[in-house]
Amino acid sequence: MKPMTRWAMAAVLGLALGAAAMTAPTAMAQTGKSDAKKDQPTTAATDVKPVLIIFRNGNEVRGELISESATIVKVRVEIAGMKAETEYSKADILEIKHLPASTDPAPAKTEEKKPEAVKETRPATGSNAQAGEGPRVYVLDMRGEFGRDVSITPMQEVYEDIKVQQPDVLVMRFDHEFTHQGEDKMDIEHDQGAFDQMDTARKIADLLYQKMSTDSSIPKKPRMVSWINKAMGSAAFLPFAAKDIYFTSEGLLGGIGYADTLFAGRGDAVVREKQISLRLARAFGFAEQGGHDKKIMAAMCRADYVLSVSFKNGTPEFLDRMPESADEILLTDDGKDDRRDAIQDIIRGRGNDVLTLNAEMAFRLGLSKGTADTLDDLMDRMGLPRNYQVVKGAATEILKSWSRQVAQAEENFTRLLQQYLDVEVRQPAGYRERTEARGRRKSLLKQMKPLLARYAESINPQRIRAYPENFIQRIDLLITELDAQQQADKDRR
Amino acid sequence: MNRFFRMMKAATAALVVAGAVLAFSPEAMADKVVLKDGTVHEGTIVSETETFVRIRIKVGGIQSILTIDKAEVNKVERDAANPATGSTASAPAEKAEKDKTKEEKKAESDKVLNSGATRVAILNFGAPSEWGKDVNDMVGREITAEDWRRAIPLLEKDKVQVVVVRIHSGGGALSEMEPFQKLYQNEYKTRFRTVAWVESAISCAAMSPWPIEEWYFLPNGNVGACTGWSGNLVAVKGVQLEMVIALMEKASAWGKRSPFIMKAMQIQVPLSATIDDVTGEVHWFQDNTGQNQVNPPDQILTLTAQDAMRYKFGKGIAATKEELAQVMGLGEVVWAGQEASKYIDDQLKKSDSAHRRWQTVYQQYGIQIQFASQAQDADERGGFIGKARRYLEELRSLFKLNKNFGMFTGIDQEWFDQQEELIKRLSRR
Repeated sequence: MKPMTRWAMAAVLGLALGAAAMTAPTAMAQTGKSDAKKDQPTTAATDVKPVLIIFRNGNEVRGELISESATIVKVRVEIAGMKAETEYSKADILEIKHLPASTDPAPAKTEEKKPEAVKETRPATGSNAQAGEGPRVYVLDMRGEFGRDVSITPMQEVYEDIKVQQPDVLVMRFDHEFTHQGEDKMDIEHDQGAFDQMDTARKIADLLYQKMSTDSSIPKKPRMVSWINKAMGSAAFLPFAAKDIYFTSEGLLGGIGYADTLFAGRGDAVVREKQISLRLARAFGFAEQGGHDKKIMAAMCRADYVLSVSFKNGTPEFLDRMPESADEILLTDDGKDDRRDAIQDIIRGRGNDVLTLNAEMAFRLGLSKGTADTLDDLMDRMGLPRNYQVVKGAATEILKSWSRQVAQAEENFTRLLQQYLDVEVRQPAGYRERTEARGRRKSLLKQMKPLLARYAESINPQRIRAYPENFIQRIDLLITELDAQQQADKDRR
Repeated sequence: MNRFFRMMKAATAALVVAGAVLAFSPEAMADKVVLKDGTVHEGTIVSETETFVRIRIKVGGIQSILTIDKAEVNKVERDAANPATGSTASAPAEKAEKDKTKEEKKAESDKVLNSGATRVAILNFGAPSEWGKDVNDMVGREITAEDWRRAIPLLEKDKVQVVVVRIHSGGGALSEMEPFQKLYQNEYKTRFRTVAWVESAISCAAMSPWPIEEWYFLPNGNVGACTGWSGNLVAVKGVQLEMVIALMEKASAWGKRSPFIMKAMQIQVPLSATIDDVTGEVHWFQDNTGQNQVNPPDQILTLTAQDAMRYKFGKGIAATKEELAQVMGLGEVVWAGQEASKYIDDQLKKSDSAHRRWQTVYQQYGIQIQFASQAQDADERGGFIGKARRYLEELRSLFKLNKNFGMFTGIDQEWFDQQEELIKRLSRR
């Protein structure tokens, strides 16, 4: 095949893939959106309508259709010999099959599997959890890399789903991988790059707290709780925004560290301090929003911050200095001279330049209200009744879908970029060949732009070998340059 | 002083109203006023006319009456089961409303203007994060003193009494700071009770409204980090630094607060404070002699909302405008000045989009000039020069819109003259 023909095919293929990549998010956005009209039932079954609901994750549920709106399906299912009404988000549903009434008059047993994201000890609609009983609990399971797998665009869709579900309790379960731009980190490490993602955390906090507090479509504000299994590095800011914080027994929070050495070696010290100061103030904002002592955040962020604690009748009292008596515990020293953590200490988890909290210390310091390994335990610690219902939110699927799309976008972009770089005009070549080559390059650039625009917030610059925001700006100029080259070429003919 | 008495009178009146309505049962609070911004006020509608609706609400356990301009309202939902809301007579009442003459409507409008409810306008100094999209917020570029000056007649037209400057900005050009300070001191504070409500006020966004005396915070709010710099983190130094420090001393005096606070936000100096046990008064020190170290000597100060409250820099923390009205001690409130608010918001968005365009056009202009310079003959050059001229004209019109666009790319009137000359030279070649 001639090179030009191969290029042309690649361009067409790229266009097709680009179009596919752009179609998927639009569809997903539609599933997540809701408005008042959409919440109105469009089907209100007065007679028995047996249905088989096939979920996107492969699960199937048989039951009787009660009502159906644009976003929710309400069905009567039978669990453990008892009938119960439950709702499913349409975002989770692949298909609703209407069964003949005579074939299965009674609602059959649900075959639904427990969601893998939550260690549930109770089914979504338990035998003692008839509809209308017990608080409705929405579990927002946050996994993967914070800033990539959890970012503002999919969280806006999750927010819409929360609106639909109207839960009484919103459990934000933090179970992130400790990675930065795809690079794994050990739990004993710290991620200075965490501060780069603080804006993402702030946007999500604004959405889940500030916007929700004034959103009239959520008349009853859910009780917000952070449930931490692993929130390290950039994931460590957001959990602070909740008043209620709980840990799992293996829970870890921290891994931020060393804000005091940000911008080291650049410019003047006073400007570096300004930059550090404004970042720390934003970090403290998370703690203060949740009503937690900002000193804990300071100890997590600055290596030169000294923090000790003493306990008076179990109540922690924080001290901005080294311990002065046996009943005071050093949390972090100033990390200077011989107090700088040695590699031997860091490896053994004994470093004290910056703070990372486990479940036990978080509880002793009053940051955590308790330790819970299952949702049952958590509800119990929170003082909620045991007949709570886990609402079938679409959050897990929304976030998973976003991760898949981001990975796909990176792959597509890398391929398009390579194709762009491969476009060449082999000599001897005339005006027509040069024109075709420029046209192909323009076409590839135009396919790259929407990928970056849509997924810039989550794309890993390491994977695409470019910073998305910079590249978006560059694309327009490259196109202008190509146009100018074409014009010059035309004039010189 | 008159304003003080007026406020006291209004506050007392509100207190009386609040006391009177405590006896109402919660069941009666079933009417809804849905605003255009999506806010819903639930309670009991006290009265409704063509121009306003008054609703008795309960916020944080305290009941008060809100008077809302109909211009703000999307819909009014009355509880049919609640005869107290006047819904039983709604049909004749609506007809009567329609039959009213212009004079009657005007009289009604005047009535609400003179109702005793405080008319409060919220103007955005930078895009609030609740907008949920990235609108740039640079002082001097998207946020300009000139726009805020133009908002004054709109505020006056609507008889606004209180202006809330809601701040969310990471700073900007030092050159815009003084115009803003003078504007707030000489124009706003003399006309309105002017208060700051801070989401984030960093650098120039803290220094520009510094003459404002009353500061309130969102729960995660912050203010500070006012060190001037440019380029690769190079600090403003020498005479220029002294001038900025002196300017901020004056602004501190206007804001009736210690200059030590701002200085600790600008340069690396210690700041400590002692809070008088009896009076609660805060005494500031530019060293470590105070009981509480507020800023260590080697750091730059940014106050969080809690810090601000602890040291009485802040007057209150409020997450919503209703909470703000409460912590400000306002009883009955009308959210007014929509035209001014809209004007400021529109200018923010316009400037943001214009500046994005500016960046693109500036670079595209450069490309055309580059190709024109390399062109072999007059025809070829002419095509590029034509495009360059169009881009230059667009730049010029954007520059007219906001001269500060040029500041961030080193463009001034002289640059335009030079470019005209360059184009002429290229054309003659």
